[in-house]
Amino acid sequence: MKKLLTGNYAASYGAILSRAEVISAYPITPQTQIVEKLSTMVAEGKLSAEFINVESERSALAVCMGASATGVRAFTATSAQGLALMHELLHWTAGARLPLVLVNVNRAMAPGWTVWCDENDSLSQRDTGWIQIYCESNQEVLDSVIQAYRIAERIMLPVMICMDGIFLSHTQEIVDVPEQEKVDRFLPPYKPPVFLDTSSPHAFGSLTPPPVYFEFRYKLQQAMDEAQAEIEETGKEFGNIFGRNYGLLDEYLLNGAEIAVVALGTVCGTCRVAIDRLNKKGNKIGMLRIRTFRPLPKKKVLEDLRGVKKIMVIDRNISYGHHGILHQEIKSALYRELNIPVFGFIAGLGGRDITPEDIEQMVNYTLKHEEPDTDILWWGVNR
Amino acid sequence: MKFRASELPLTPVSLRNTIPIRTGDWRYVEPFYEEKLSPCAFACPVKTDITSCIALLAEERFGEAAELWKESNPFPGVCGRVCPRFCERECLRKHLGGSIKIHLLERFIGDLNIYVQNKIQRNGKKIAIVGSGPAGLACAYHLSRKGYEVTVFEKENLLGGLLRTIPSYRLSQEIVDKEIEGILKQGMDIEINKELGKDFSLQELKQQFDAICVATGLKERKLNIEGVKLSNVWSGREFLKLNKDIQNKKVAVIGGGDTAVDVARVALRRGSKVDVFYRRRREDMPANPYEVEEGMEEGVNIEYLSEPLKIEKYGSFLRLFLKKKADGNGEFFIDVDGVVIAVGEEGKTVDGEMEDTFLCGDILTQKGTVSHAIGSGKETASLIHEYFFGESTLAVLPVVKPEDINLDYFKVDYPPEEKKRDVSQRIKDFDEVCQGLTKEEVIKEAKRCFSCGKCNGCDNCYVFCPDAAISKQDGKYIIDYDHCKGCGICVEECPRGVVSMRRTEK
Amino acid sequence: MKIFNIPEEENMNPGHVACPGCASALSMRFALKALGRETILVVPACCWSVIDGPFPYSSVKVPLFHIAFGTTAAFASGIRAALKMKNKKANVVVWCGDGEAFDIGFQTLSGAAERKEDIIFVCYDNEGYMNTGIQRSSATPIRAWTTTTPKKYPKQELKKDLVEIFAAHKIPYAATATVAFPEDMIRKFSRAKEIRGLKLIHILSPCPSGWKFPENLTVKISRLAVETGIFPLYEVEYGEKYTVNHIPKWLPVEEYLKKQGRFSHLTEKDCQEKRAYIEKKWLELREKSKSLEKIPILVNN
Ligand SMILES: Cc1cc2nc3c(=O)[nH]c(=O)nc-3n(C[C@H](O)[C@H](O)[C@H](O)COP(=O)(O)OP(=O)(O)OC[C@H]3O[C@@H](n4cnc5c(N)ncnc54)[C@H](O)[C@@H]3O)c2cc1C
Ligand SMILES: Cc1ncc(C[n+]2csc(CCOP(=O)(O)OP(=O)(O)O)c2C)c(N)n1
Ligand code: SF4
Ligand code: SF4
Ligand code: SF4
Ligand SMILES: [Mg+2]
Repeated sequence: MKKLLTGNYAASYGAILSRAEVISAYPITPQTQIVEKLSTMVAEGKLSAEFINVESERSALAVCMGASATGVRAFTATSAQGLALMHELLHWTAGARLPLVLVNVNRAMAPGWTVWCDENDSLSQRDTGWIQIYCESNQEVLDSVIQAYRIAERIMLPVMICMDGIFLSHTQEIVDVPEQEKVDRFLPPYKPPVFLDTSSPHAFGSLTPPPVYFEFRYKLQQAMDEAQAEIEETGKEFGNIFGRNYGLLDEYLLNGAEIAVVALGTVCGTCRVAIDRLNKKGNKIGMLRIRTFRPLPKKKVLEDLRGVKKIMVIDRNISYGHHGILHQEIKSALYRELNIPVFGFIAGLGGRDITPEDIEQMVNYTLKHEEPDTDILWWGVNR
Repeated sequence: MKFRASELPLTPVSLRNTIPIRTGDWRYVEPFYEEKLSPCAFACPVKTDITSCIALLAEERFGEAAELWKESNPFPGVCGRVCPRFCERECLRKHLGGSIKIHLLERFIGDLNIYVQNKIQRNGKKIAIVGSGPAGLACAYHLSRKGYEVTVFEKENLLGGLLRTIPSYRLSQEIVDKEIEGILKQGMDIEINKELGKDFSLQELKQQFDAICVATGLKERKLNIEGVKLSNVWSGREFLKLNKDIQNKKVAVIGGGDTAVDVARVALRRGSKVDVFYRRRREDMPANPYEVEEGMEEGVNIEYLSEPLKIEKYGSFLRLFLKKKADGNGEFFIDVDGVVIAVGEEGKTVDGEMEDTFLCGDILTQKGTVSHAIGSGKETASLIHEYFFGESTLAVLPVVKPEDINLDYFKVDYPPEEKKRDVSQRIKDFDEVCQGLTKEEVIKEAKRCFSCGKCNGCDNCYVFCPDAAISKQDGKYIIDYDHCKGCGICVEECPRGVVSMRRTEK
Repeated sequence: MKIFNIPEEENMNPGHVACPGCASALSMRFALKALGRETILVVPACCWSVIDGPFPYSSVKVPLFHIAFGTTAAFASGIRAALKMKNKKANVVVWCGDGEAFDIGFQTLSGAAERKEDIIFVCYDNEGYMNTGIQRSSATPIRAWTTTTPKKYPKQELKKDLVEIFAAHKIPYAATATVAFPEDMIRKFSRAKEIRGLKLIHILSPCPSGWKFPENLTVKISRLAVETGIFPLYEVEYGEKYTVNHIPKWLPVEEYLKKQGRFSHLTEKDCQEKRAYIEKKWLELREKSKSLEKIPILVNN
């Protein structure tokens, strides 16, 4: 059924269709409607779940972890400050191998206070052991939440679905809401191998001394490796049932392209418009959208970029003291494999618009230069 | 501990319980169960297991209590009445309401008049016992219960030795009869009116018996002053046997022991006025302090630090000259109708003939109490047994110290009132002054006992072990040394000092 | 002749790695006897995150989840919600130190209390951060030594009154308990089991290493805390109905203090101050508890 939905509602429908049984979240703009929608649905008896209105994001995640550890499907959503407040528990969720799904509505970090978008919040949670998927549309948000549970519960790792705040969360798009019965076929009930069960008592997460800690971390990395195939397979299977295919990455006009624009999130939509305009003028520009940031599909990235002459990375984020986070990631993927200059743009921090014109100008700059003038190409900053 | 990643669960999920962790290896000291001798039992000359008997009384298991008591002391009725209560002086309840009235519990046990069966096979060894005082009879009793064929020789026509001279207002002779009867029931031959040195010799006995035990007690000590041969001057024991009224007479008693006080109280009951002269202070009096107290209640006057010098006859009365020790020159006299000399006992020195015989009672210990005599009889029986069979039956146990008791578990609680007949009544007859306890009082009193050094299954060690290292099996506590860390809480929380600490051997 | 009747069922195995004489281990033993096997434990950072045993061991015979500091009440709420969805019953129990209850997890606990979460929240209070080596917490008593409140500058602030704080949340049940009174403790756990909503059990848990007393005195000190009046044993229902469970013997407070190295620097004035606090607390309790009307408060004796 097609509906006009904001990103927040799309995320809520994803959770509803996935039959999340325990939901807990704490309001923060621009995620608030997710909390409102789901709590109303539960209160009205339209969703068979427990909704727990907690006093902080840390508690929201803790509630979900507790539920997940007891063997039920749990859902939470947050943004920026809230995600940062969860930080310790993000590590804990992954380390405890709890297959939670969390929707993060990307918002820039304070101070100063802002509710506008950038991705510093979720990208700085890179090393917590979560699978991270970045969406470009509200449809993708809904579809990804459903896929996320299947991936999470097979690999036993939590999944964070990221959508750009305001740009997706508060923008209505036409979204095809799948039928419950089909979703049920795609996503079987959650049955973990061990959980908090009085008939089979275990202690979880006890003191783990050096002779074994290391092995558990090795296993976590193994799971991340396995996740790549799982994400791909899930995306395909989803396509088979619902007619929309998803993969680790999303390539646009990369075949024969000379310049590849690499980015994640909604800026990719803007890129598509700019690239179309540029290519009409005879340029050969393509785009690589990083849908799966963790695990980073390095091999696929290399395959996709092999053959281009220049790479442009547009980062709506920054790792202070170094440069754009995606920029680093792409460069490290290329290491000793492809010797291609990478142009690292930083743009749109704190929700500043990135227009198709901005993209076109970035491409023009790249066309004109053999190598970037500086490590960071600040786009649009008033110095 | 080494695991391959492939063998591990996804996240640290426990795979087994902690029993394989030997936390007991941390320990350098460890608790162990060690029943101890209670201070009361240790102080008791008979070494009766007072504590266990009291525990049985508390549970209203009177018969068992009596049997257990009589396993060590066949004279509870007697001792409960006349023993100076060595046990009670040491009782650890002392400061929490007052010592347990052990003598009243003992008396109750005695008055139940329960015989213990002797089912032992005779072992063929023949023992002769000379003297049927409490020592001789206790020795005979224990030997018979160990299987010996015992014959008791007594010069008098009545068994019991000096028990027969203790006046009946303190010790009903019926009780003595019954307890002696109980002893005889153990199986033994009795030869009365047979005096050693007169009717038979040790030499003769040695030919007929495998061992001989002499328990002939002590003789009265004589006083070497002028006038002791005068008429109306008696020895204590003579006076007590007189059994005639001396109405409205004045009697002077010389001495400070049980005999002296008894003489005074008997004289009083026979209608006389009595003064006792003792050469030292009250606290030095060898007499049973309870009996001194009772005598004084009844009107016995005691002059301390008064040393007798001579007795002279002045017409119809006797004049006793004395000297007050405090002031060097304080000579004085008193005119009386009779003088009784009760200045203690003295022993027959052990002569060569006795060398390879066993001794017991006052003749050996010179202690001069019934309970010492019984204890000595019991101990000599054990020695005789050891002599024949080499097995020592005298166990050595540590004694509970006051600090071993955890007073937090006991509340202040008072003993029952001791019931004595009114003075005005009791001095008119020879009936017992003190009365025993009722059944209910006995149970209540027994429940006040701490049960020092004897586990009574209070469970505290089991309850308070933070390591769940103490379990219960068949009514016993078992310490799991693989896991006991040696914290010592069980030792501390045991109310009665049953759990001790020792170094752990590494 | 039993003094304390406690259930025989043993739901904690030996071999746990608590310090010798640890009251928190003993408390767990008692608690599990009352709670039984249909129980799920949630444990934050604290001594108990060590005590239960390192991987691959666990001492308790019930499921136990080790979770981050400051999150227990929420994590437990999640378990309860999941059990509800699964239509299953179990006691959901948070087992934490004073760090969690008084400090880092205080907000979370308050949230869970307000939401009426059906959990039993147990704080074994050893009056400091012991696992990290004896630092002060807001449960450390005034004038006590810890490594962050050295003897020259001991703690200057009063201990928070946890039970009163949660009584003010109107939770259905709040109670204090300590190991020297095992039957009382077990009864309180059994009661907590039967009540729906958030139950708080505040256990005073003497710690030989942190309080500096010989290991064998754990129970003794626990008893003295009660008998001096320092740690009243009581229950509060819905913030209103107060029941005092034990009238102290009013032993001199010094008997409690002088057995512990952490108080060895206390002066007579400090003791006087302690007595004043005890008296104040008991006057408050007497005011609130109807059953106490005629009880004399004899702290100064
Ligand atoms: C008046 C009085 C009051 C007392 N009051 C108390 C009291 O309140 N509490 C207390 O504990 N103690 C008391 N005593 C002391 C106590 O009675 C004795 O210490 C105790 O009886 C000693 O026991 P025994 O068996 O060693 O000797 P004895 O009781 O003296 O018995 C010795 C026995 O040996 C017999 N005998 C002696 N010579 C021969 C021989 N040659 N041949 C055969 N038989 C012989 C004697 O006839 C006697 O029966 C009292 C003593 C007296 C006299
Ligand atoms: C977020 C966080 N901060 C600090 C710590 C370090 N830490 C571990 S246990 C502990 C103190 C625990 O104290 P308490 O709760 O009283 O329990 P106890 O150790 O006394 O049993 C601290 C500070 C931690 N684990 N997590
Ligand atoms: S309390 Fe009982 S066991 Fe202890 S000394 Fe007294 S009578 Fe003996
Ligand atoms: S209480 Fe337990 S751990 Fe402590 S010493 Fe006794 S048996 Fe050992
Ligand atoms: S430090 Fe204290 S509370 Fe912690 S385990 Fe040791 S004794 Fe127990
Ligand atoms: Mg603590």
